[in-house]
Amino acid sequence: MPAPWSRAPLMLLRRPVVALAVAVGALLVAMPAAAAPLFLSSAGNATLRQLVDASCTWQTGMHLAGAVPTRPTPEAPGDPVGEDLVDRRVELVRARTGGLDHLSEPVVTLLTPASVGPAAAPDQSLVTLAARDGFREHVDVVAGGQGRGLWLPDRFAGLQGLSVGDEVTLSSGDARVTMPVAAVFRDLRSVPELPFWCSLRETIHGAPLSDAPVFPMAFVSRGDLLAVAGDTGASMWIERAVDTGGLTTVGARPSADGLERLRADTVGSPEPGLFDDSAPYGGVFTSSLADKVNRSELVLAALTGTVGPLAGAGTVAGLVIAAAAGAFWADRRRAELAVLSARGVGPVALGGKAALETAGAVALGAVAGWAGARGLVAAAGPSPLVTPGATTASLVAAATALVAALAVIAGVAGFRAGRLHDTRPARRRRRGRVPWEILPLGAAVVCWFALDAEVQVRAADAVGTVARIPPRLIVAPILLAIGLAMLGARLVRWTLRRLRSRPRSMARPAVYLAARRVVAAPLVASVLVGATAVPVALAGYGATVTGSVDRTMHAEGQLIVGTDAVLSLKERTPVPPELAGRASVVTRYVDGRLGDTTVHVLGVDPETFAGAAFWDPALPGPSLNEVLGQLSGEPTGAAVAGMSSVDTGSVLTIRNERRELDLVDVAQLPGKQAGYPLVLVDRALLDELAPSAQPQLWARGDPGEIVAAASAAGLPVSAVARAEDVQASGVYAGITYTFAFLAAVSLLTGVVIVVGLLLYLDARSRARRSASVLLRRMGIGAAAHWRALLLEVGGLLLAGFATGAALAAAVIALTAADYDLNPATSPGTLVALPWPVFAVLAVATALTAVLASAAAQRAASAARPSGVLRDTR
Amino acid sequence: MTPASPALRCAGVSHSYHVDGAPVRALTGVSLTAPRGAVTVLAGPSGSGKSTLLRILGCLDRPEEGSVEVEGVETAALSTRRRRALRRARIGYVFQDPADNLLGYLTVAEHVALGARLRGAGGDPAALLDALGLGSRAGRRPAQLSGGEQQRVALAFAAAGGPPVLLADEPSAQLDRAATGLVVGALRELAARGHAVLVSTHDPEVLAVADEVIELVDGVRRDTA
Repeated sequence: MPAPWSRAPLMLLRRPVVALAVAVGALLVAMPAAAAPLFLSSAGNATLRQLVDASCTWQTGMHLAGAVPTRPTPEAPGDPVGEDLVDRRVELVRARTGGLDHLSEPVVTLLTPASVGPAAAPDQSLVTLAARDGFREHVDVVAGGQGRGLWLPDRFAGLQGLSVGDEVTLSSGDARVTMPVAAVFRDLRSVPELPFWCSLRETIHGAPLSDAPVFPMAFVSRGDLLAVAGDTGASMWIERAVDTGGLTTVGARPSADGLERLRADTVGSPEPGLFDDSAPYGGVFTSSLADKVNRSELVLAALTGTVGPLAGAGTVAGLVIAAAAGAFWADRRRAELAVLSARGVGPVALGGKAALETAGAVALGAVAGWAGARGLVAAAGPSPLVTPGATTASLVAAATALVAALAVIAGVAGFRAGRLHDTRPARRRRRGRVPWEILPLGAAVVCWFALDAEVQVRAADAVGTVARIPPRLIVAPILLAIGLAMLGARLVRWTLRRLRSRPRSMARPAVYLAARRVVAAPLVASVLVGATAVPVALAGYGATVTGSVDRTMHAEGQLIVGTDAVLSLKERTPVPPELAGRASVVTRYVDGRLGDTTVHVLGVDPETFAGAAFWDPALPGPSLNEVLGQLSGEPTGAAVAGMSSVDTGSVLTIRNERRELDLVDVAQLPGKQAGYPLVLVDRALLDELAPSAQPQLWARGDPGEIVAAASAAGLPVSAVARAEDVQASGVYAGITYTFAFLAAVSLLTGVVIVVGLLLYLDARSRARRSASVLLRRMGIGAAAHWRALLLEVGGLLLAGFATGAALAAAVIALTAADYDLNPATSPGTLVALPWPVFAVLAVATALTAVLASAAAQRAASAARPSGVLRDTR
Repeated sequence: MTPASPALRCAGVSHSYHVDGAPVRALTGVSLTAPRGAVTVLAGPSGSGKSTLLRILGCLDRPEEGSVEVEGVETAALSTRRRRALRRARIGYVFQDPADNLLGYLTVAEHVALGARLRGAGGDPAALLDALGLGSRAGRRPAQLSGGEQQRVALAFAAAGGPPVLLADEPSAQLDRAATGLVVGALRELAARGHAVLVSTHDPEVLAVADEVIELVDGVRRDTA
């Protein structure tokens, strides 16, 4: 006889349903465990990519600015000058950053102002002359492009009547160089900006809100430029861009460190004049890669505190399914286990047998779980890139999950087998015994007070802060929902047990059958209700936190600015027709006094202001329309926000003008900025009191479109404030990713419940087949049996859904105040209830009930009476 | 244990079940002994407590009251682990349904070998199989056997390794007359090999080969033999 263990690994092939259940259980354990390190790495890489993409790639990588003298200087008479200096600097940069990955080849740019002659328009003959490596591949050539000479922008060439081949003289100071026009290209100001030119943005387009003149950019060779620059020399940049392909936080770190070493060299170089920041060479080094890597790692740190517990919750949910699969295995092997147990084989040995038999399926499930996690992160994660370390960690997590799943399956199977025979009589339970379900509730309370509530993570090296969902806002609600769901399940079980002994009233067959099935198995029914409630509660809670944080942050930005975009105008103008209906002209005066308090005063048009300003119906107090309705009357109506106390009838003083106001104190007003109370009055009143008040155009919609419309209408805009910029200084990627992971875990727990339901249905399939056959013999048809199934499964799922929704509501009510990630900024939490999510969950629940009961009915209908009646086991 | 002592003894065994929280008395103060080399039969109508008593004697359940000795070892006070060890070493148990006694993936010979291995014994299973008329079926699996053959294999599985006590719960309940005759013969053969055989039944054919019949009625012993 072969050794028992040699046969065990193949035993499960005889029971494919059990093998599938075990494999799915292992998959559900391994997937969240393996996903956590992969997701964290992916989120870190995505954050780094976002940060790099959001800024100029040359300034992220390396931007070394200095001067290039063309003659030896008295301070350093022996140092190289001109092209020799350029070459030596490039050589030095290459030597010190040569081994660094993710950086482009050094690109040299020389700049000097120059005048082009002969000029048809002499007063516009100035250009910014540049020599930039590789510029030819990044301009749109209109004519020419071969040979030595000057590359001119088309606008300039047209203005000056120059074309390819014309001889021109470039002059700068005393230097004069004659050369032909080699090419004409599209003016860089008239074409969409390419990343290649981003470090020259201000040179090409001018600095925002600057009155400094901007000259067209023309190109020559490096030697020609230095010749034109003459004795004054030229500005010089050496740049290396960041290559974002395959860029990870781990991979970028050596490059960032290498660049920081180079930065240090520019301050104290052993070769003065080459890199140091002393006159006359200059040497200003810019690189933000290290800062961006640090911030990405900070986001990772912020995420770890929340993703870790979430992954843990998902893994525990998977272990529950693994335990159910172990129980399922024990049930399907009950006869064999009974034989062996009767012959004295103990639960440890039988658990070992379960482990041996299920090891293959568990391994397959764990591998599939890891592959699923990797695939999900690659396909739907923040970034498809993960670091090798994260892959290793995920493999270790999957292997640990495999062992844990196997241990749970073996433990449950052994426990079930050990209870087949010779169990000790159940001890009578003491009345008033404390239910064990309060353990997770107690843990929730402890976690709420013990875990970090900080909404920002600060870096030790002061690279800044990033916002995050505090861990306690994730861990405590999960524990609370699970504990309450368990208590609910206990209540269901207690109720069903009492209903079982009640006199039975005859109802319609389907109702009667469903009710009796549910009442006859109170433990199974209560588990199904509790198991359905948990994912519903988690999904509802997660969606509410997501929506509420988003709504609150949006409201904070909007209230500070006042609306999507506020354009400060140099003079008052009418609303452009293109913005009619969503824009309003407002005046703002910042030095008013209300009593003894300095206030900002906003003069608005009551007719159009509500259509242009931000308002959220969830904000406390009267609505904006109600406030605007009170801006008339005698004395003049006004509203104030931010005053500690308001005396009705307070006097508004602007300069020497005083006006008695009928003030309404409100909690919020659009445009209320930190520091000063804001008084809202009719614009006509402010025009009368302060004719010089700053005119502004408030408009709703995409700020880019608004600015374009204002520009097209010729509005004299001096500044633009955007609501979206208010939150731009914080790094909120961690929050977004936390929500994404929370949604994934909710989805996973939904899969868990579906698998659990299928196990439940399969476990009862034998009894259902018998019932179906016997009912058919009693004249009760398949339709009635299906209705009974639908009522049984649907009723339990519906009860679970309702319980889950109630749990979500309870958890939200307890934690809502913490959804504000900027508690110092008004207006505090605005809760956004996710009705669509609940609707989708309800539909998914109903659909699951219909499909599961239909599948079970199909299986029951296929049963043959002869087979069922012969089956006496 | 003295040479004259019975392999199995119980005294004053009482037991109840709880149905919907209410106790239902299954056994009341039952005492018996089962000597080696004899077939002792527990008789009685359905619901009289035969199976309950057999499970208690086989250490598959614990009595509420009373004592059970297997080869002089008092079992009621033993830990679950010790009772399991006792079950493995000294008790062979045969359930009523042949399918509940056998492992579908083992051959007849493998069943006997496994039974012996569990008891730490070795040897050739052929002798026992031949004695029970199963020599020609050694390589077959349970699904390839008749009900009577399955039940005899179950007896062989239970007897493999030589446990002193063999308990069989209505072994002929699902068999026809011919198969019952073969099983009865197997029981006698096992008793002849020195096992203390205790069988619950209300089958006259089994009763006919009993060395002693103990009748249970409503959980109470009524001596008739």
